[in-house]
Amino acid sequence: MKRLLYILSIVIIPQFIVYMVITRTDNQCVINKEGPTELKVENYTRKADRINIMVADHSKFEILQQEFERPQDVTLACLSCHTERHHELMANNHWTWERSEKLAGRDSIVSLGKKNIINNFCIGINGSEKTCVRCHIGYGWGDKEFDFTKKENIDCLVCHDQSGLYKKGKGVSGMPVEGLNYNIISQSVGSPKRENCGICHYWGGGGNNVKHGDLDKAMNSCSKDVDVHMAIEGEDMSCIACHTTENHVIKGKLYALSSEDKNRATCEQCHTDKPHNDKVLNNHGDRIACQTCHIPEYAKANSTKMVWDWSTAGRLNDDGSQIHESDADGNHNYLSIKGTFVYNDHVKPEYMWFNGLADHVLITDSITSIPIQMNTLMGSYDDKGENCESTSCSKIWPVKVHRGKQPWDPILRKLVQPKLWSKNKGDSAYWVDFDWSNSITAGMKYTDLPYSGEYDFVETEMYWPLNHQVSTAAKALQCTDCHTSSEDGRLAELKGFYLPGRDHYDFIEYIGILLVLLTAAGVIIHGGIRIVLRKNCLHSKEE
Amino acid sequence: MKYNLLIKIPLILSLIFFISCSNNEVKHYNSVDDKIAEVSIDAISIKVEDLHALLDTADILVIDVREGFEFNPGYIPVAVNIPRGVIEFKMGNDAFWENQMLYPPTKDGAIVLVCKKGKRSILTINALKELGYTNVRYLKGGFKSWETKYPLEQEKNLELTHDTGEEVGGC
Repeated sequence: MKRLLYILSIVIIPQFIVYMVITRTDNQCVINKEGPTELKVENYTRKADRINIMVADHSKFEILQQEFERPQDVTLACLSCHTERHHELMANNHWTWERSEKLAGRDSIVSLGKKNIINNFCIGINGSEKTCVRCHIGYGWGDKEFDFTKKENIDCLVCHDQSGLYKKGKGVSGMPVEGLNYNIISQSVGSPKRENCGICHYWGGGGNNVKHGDLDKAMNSCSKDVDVHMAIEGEDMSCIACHTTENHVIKGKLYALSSEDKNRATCEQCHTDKPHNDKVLNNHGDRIACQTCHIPEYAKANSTKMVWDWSTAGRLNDDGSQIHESDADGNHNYLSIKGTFVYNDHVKPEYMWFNGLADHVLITDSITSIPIQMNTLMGSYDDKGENCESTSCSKIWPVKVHRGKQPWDPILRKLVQPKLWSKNKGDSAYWVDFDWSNSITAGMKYTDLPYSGEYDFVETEMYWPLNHQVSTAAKALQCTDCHTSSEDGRLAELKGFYLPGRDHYDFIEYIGILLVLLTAAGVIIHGGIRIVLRKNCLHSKEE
Repeated sequence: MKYNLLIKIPLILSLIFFISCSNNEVKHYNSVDDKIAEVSIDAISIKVEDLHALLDTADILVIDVREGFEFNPGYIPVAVNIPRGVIEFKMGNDAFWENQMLYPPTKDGAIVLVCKKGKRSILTINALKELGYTNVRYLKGGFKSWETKYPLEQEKNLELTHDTGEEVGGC
């Protein structure tokens, strides 16, 4: 009778196991979706414990009650109390728009920054400074003659205005719009808020969220669905909570524009390098950037630009007026001055090995491969342990890839700098005259670089490692998003290493199948022998 | 008697266990994404590169199931716009196809459904299968995927769109 019970148990238990397996959801691996344990936090004051540190009431200061004729006079008033601050600012990248960088893979150190870099958005500022420097923290940078040593040219208000009234003008060399009340504005000053940083970091490239994909005006007031750190109903963190600042030295550098792995703002600052309670998850941090799992998609609120093709620019209406066409979401997909665009929202990142080092194509470089990688993120699977090429080994990072087509010199095989902006017709600016030949000739002459006189359009790619728009733990990637053999797996395209669940070795799998078959055969043979000999066994027992 | 019960009870329990697994009730999903995830298991997709190649060589009907206001600013050349809400009514409607200057689709003809990113197409596949269309696929990544890969290969009904004006921002 006992034997019968065993046999029946053998019938039911496997059924139960099979049932559990087939009804198992994809996400029942390590991570509990409903109740994730909170990440560790250090060096951070929670919202509930924050004390609002008030800056001095500037409306009481007599010097800010004078009648200001120029914005430069406001700066001089600021510096009359905040003495020596101008030295800090003049050393800041927000002022210099360049810094010494050792490009990865090259021996020489170059001076690189927005002042001279070529990108695949608006290409570069040279010859068009009057409009581009709307994002410079200065007044009057209209051409190469700008005096970077003149302290009154520092624009304090663009970062410190809290009235919301301050605004820089378009095409006026970084000067503010006319008619501002500098008394109200200067008396409102305080620590920079999101709006101050965002006016440039959201709007770079000619529109909201165009460049980064993870920096969007929606983050001024967002929910956790957009960014778990900045959510108004959550921790409500400002930019400078992570990008901590002392003496105007701001932690953090734009990855897409920096070449060395230094002065980074990192997740580990607060979350430590072992943020989870689960050891397996913490171990993932050795080769996986936090951002990879915690930024499963970007452009969560508004679309970002994914493609910019300059080669179609210049199409005009019959009456000579400019064409503006938009996609279904209201984003421009054609402009006469800029060409064809593609925007997208809720974009899944592409994934790359990255160790914090990068190379950049300089305007003086000869092009050797197409599409041109405007910046090359360094790193590989083998960049680990003793083989580390930088202070931090390579990790898998989520990246926005912006693909473009822009003018170049096919004879000299170099990228070119066209002059884009001017107020007046006939000044060789493409956005007014729509003549590529003239605008490239003028731009290259301005930069003192050779130009063969022939131009064409070349495919480019620019890589933007993602850091913002962090999701809640419940919406972070799950194990099977990567550990899957599906062609839709997040890491399906990242080859060159073994990833459990994704990769298969036929030899090992055949051995596994063989072992299962041998085990089954052993069970059947053993069971068969027992059944055949059962009578004898029973008899022997009874006897 | 006791011996019989010991055999029958586990077998009956086992039977109940498996009968209870069969589900004839309407299935409820926590979110539309959960539904799409389940439906997509049986949905056959086609990549933009493959569709691009097929358009030149094969007899294939591309149906864009987005709403008209989404379709008009940009769509795959040759695509026919039939919003998801009315697709069952248009498929066998001879007058509609005559107006499109196309033959009505045959039940076994190749059909590719397109929407913004693929989700609506996945949900539409079953509607066509239930009407007897056997060769229906959806474009993976939808029109956004096509547009990103082939930004210059699209048509627009500009007379039916409303542009928002000049671009603003840093440049």
